[in-house]
Amino acid sequence: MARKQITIPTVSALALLVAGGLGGAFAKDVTWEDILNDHETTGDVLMYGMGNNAQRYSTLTQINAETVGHLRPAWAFSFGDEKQRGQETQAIVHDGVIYITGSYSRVWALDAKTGERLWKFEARLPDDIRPCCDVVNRGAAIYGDKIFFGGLDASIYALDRKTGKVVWREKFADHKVGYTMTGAPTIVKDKETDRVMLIHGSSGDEFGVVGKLYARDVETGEEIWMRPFVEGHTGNLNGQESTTTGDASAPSWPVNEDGSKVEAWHHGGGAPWQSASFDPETNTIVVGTGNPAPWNTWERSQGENYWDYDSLYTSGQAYVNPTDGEVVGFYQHTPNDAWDFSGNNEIILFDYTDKDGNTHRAGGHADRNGFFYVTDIDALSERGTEINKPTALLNAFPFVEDITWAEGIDLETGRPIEVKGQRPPLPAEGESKGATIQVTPPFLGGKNWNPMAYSRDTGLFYIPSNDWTEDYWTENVTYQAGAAYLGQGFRIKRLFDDHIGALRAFDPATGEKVWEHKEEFPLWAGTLATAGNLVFTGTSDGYVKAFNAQDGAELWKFQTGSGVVSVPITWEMDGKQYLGIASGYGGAVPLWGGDMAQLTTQVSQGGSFWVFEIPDELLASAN
Amino acid sequence: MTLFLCHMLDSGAAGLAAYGGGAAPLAGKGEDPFDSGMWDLHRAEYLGDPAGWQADRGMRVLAPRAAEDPAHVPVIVDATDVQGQVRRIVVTIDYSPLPLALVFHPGRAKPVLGFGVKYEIAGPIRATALADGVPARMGGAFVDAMGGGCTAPAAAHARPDWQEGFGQMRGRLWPATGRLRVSIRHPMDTGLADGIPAHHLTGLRLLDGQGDLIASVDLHEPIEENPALTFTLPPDLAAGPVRIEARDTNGYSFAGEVTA
Repeated sequence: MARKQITIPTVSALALLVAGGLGGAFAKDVTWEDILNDHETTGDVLMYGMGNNAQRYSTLTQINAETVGHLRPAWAFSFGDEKQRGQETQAIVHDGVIYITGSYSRVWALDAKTGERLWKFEARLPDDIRPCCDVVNRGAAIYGDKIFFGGLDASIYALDRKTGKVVWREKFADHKVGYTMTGAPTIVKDKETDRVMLIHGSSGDEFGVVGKLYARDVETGEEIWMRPFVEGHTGNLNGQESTTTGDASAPSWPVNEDGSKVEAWHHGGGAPWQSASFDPETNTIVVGTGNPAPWNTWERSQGENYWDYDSLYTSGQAYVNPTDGEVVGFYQHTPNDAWDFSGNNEIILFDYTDKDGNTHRAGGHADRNGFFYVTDIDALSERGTEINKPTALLNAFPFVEDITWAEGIDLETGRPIEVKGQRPPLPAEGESKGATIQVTPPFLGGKNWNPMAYSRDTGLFYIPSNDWTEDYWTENVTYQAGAAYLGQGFRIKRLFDDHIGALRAFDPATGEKVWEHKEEFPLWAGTLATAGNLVFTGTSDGYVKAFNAQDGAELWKFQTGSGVVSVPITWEMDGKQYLGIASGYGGAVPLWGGDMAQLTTQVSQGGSFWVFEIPDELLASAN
Repeated sequence: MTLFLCHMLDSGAAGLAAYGGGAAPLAGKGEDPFDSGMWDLHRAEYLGDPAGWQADRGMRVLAPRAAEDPAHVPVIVDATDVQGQVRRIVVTIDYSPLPLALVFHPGRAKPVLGFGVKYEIAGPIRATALADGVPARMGGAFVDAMGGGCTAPAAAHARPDWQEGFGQMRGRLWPATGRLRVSIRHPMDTGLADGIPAHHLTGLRLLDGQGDLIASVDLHEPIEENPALTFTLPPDLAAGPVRIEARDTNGYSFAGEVTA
């Protein structure tokens, strides 16, 4: 790869001038230890999830249930351009600099104190990118002297964090057939090889891609391994073909009469488009896998028989060995997923105490299918056992109202207790559409990508959920490269008159809903819990809000001018606690939300990053 | 002194006049023959304010008197008559919104480069040669232009499939004259056209058969869309092969090889 030419003295002089204005920012490179301690350190935010365990919890207490009423904007930064759309990002903070991504694959570095722009990077995207659910980006990763993010053109960019210039770029798949990237990559250090690697997936299940997880060298971008999440597809390791994922004959996918695999297997989905967690204790990557493609269940079944064809390894949580990219464990939330429930939502690693007082190292996951799962991460990351481990389940309970597709999750078998008639029937002879059924939750989910938080103080999960439903019917489907591959029609509808969004606090051991706060609009922002007895989130009608973590009382709100569908963070700098969140409405709801249009068309577009603080004089009076 | 390129012109050195710009008018030491407002600033910003700089007819800049197409203004800079070993040639455009066009590091190639630039507004284009042991030498040419070259979208964007053929490289090496011409399909977006982010080549290098550097150019926003660059190689390198490598702001890299 050609490198940019040696600097010339005149340019160096200019760079010096700029550096002088930064006041010593950019000084420290990020180490693996920094990342490993991210969930404990309060002066920085280095990972999507605010730590490898993805808990989104901070021990900071300056902003607390008593002082939060004094929270005021410190500064706001406009992303500018005419490219507003959805801002779903989580910022990173390191050494006095905020790194934030925006719609259309843009990145900014901002002075954390003043909000001044230090640099901007904007990918030049092809016109034929195919993101299903808006041109969003959810955040960057940071390591050493670089920051990393995924572009909508199915590329990973590594930027020099001091200048914003591209150090390397790797195009990992063809954007024309539907591969794209919206999620934040994560950094992992493999215990076996001591190698620090960038972990990322892709999107594109709605276009029939084969979902893949990648590990790359952080310095060069070179692929270390690639793991497909459709059973029987072959991965890569060190530039060569490696093993198949699970059984090479892929028994969880049906065959044609001639014994060949059905069309769906070739385009089976399962894309890990959200960010992985990492369990350093067992040296295991934990990541959700996407829905199978197409959505139409009968394309992945043999006649009526869907129960013998689980469409592995889609719509579940995968446990991957970073040394070689092998899948060591899998728990499937929705076997042979007929509803685009997907399994992508984050898996929060936490210490779980069950009803009988036994402790486990566990994963918490609120699925689009409406159920909350507590999984046993020690069992799921155990090497040398069956990959598919449906019994590695510790608890499961519903977190949204009126779920129709299943009565519950059988804690013995680990499988859902499905309700008959909830798999939409095939079109009758001569018809192009099947009969319409009503399904709750709809494909946008009881909870979507927007991450929940876990408080180590209250032991509760704070879930940004939605109560809604859909009309759902099958359609005929044939794979065509670059076209939607669904085989389903849908229309999302209201379930209740007074709300769609509901921020809910759940006890993972009892499944008890401790409190809930209803919102008129769908909730599409992530959450943050702090030791200040607070939970923060944003609303689609433009507010940033703070709630009492114990009882859900709304304590503070601020109107940002556009809908908030991003992820809040908090950090401390020079003795002061800050809250940061992006504003800018978009995402999947205004595109696919059906009846939600009555609400979403009321929201103005935007694109800005807001930072809040308690002004010194108010802080003095509050104490 | 013979002008290196003049033998390629119809009527030798005299034919230069037909190209209008030609060499800069004479001026006293430390004086700007174009008497333009930007030179002091650009000299400070892009050249580090070199002491003892002077306008020099030996630093030739050939450009049309008037730009027929402001998106493609052909230019040749030729420092073969500049005293000393020329280390780099810095090309700036006085009234361009982004004044720095390129920095040429001739290395083992002759200090001669042909290229095209976009012109936003009429004004001088300058080349300053920085050579060992002598003060900076500036030459220039005044180009009249209707303007808009930097803020209009690249022609490629009239097509939805602009990325088709993107990065294609064509090149040819003429061993008899040492001429090497390379062109790359690239929109060279300045970031000033509405809704189109900056996306341009940042550098191009020539390498010999052993992989050792011959010459390099740092490229900036004012360089034309689908740029074509013409180098002149000494006889030992003109036999080829020559490897060409380029990079852009989005991290794309391009490579090719020409043989005689």
